[in-house]
Amino acid sequence: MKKQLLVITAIASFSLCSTAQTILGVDVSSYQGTPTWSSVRNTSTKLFAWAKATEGTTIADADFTYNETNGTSAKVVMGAYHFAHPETNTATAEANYFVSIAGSYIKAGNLPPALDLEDPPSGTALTSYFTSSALVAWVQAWMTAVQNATGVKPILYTTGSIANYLGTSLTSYPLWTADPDGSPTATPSGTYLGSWPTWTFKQYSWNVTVSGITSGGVDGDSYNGDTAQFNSFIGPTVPPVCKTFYTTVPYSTSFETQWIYDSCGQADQRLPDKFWKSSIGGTTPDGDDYWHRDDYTGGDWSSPTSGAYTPAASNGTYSARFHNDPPPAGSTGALDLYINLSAAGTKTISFDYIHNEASPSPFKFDVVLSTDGGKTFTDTLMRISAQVSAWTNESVTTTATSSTGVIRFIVTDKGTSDVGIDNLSVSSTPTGIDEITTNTDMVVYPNPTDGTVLNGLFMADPAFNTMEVHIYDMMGRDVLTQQVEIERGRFSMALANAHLVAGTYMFVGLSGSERYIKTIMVK
Amino acid sequence: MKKTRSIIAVLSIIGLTAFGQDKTITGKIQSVDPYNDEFRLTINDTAFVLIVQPNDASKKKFEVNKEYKDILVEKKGKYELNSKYAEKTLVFSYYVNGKGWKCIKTIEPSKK
Repeated sequence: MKKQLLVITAIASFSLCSTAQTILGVDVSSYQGTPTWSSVRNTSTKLFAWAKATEGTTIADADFTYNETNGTSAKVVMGAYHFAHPETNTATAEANYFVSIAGSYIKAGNLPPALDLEDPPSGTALTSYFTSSALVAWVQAWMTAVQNATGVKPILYTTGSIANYLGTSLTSYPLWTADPDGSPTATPSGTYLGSWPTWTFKQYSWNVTVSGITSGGVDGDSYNGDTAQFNSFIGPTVPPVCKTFYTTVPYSTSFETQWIYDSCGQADQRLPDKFWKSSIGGTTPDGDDYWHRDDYTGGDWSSPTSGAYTPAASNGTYSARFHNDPPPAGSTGALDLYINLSAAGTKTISFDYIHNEASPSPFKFDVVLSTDGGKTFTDTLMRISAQVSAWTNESVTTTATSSTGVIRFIVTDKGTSDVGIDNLSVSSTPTGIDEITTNTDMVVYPNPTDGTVLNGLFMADPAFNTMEVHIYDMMGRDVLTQQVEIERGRFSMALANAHLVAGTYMFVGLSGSERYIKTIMVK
Repeated sequence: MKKTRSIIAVLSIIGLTAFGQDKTITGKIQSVDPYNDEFRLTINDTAFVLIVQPNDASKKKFEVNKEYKDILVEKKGKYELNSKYAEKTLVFSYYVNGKGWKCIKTIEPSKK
């Protein structure tokens, strides 16, 4: 990243001695094939590029990874955009899908993520599907979900007519306006800005000839500012988003989505989501003592296949893995979940664990709790030092009520087999006169479900003929709330409208004084 | 001679492909609809985009060769195909932009 900025700075210095430089870029998708990014950068002097990552909830651009990897290597400042289909999907489903594909490319030094909001290819105007307020709500939900997941504020790409239709509610998001007037610098008229006071990016042409892109005309874009402003916009070398986000109870994850950039440690794929932080210690940390998703193959792990456990997960496909093979003596790695524990009642931390190795020395796996935002960890909730050769469920409770709780999973190891955790959940059991009991005596099926329907069978209290169902995603967000009717201990609920993406979810059903919690998979 | 022509023809096709020249389609305009502040023309059941000329706030001029700038006409605030081109078979050259739109560049009469 420093090199990248130096290149830009060098150009800026040159420009100051000659003419003012306009910062130009392109946006590409698989329609452009596989550009020769060194030519895009060096011959056509395009400094930035957005690459299409996803569309809707099912289309991942075939060349996205190629573009991000090779564009970055060529010192082009890269970004990722998502083509929206509000007429088809929920904002949450589309945001989750986008983050699952593009999440690891959203970081300081890159362009912010962009939502591409335009008329769908079907040809029916987007504005004919929604009222203005409904469309604003959809966009706001997408922006919030992506920002929450990545820590980076997205920008909005749209046409003049849609910008006008959106009104004033979204103007806090930078605007990338589609105004193909052929001029990178001319200020777009109000027709294109809607209620936005200014523009940040402008798609000034749909037919620019660019060296390195042989497919034909390509979209040309410009940035509204100078080099210093651009560098500030994309983020300084000091991570701008090293912030702390506290999730709430209940929280669950099976570590299925691509891990995100650690803006505090400035490393790729080091955090399951924005509610986590990664820290290391130990006597000789050499970079191999980090937690990652188990399939990680990047620079943190020198021998990713060494020490791997089988199966790779207890729930879903992936797990969280602490790798330290080859092992520096007593290396330590911590993965910290920031969580607001102020919900009433006892909190249960449940997860599956594996470490198939006898008596490495030293070795310890601890779950420790901080109630002061991670300043001190005084409460050791659990310690495992024995061999656990197969995935085994572990659970521990706490009555802590700190709103700045941190649950730390920390390993000290000199062994040659890695440590894995999976299927993590933090839930609360309210106490008191109106106590709700957690009842596991329920069967939900099909599980995995195809995302269209979920049925349940349990010993229902005849006094209650409805159940309030909440479906939480792995970020702990309530993605579906529904009142379902119970008939002789059976219920059936439609999931289709929630457009749940494949992954793990927590089912919470409330009926009378009973609460039912189940983990469900959507395939 | 025939072989030479064939080789030249093949090389021309390769050249057009390699350097991303415009493609063409021949057919009749079936429908006209507004699309992302431009116009969507359906030709042979395929969507093409007719771009409004830059800086034309009136949106009455199109990015196409001057002989066909009257391809669409405004009637009661709505744009529709100029009747003189209705049922006419035309040759459209187009390029594909960043989002995969097939943007019309030129229109010519069909010689068939």
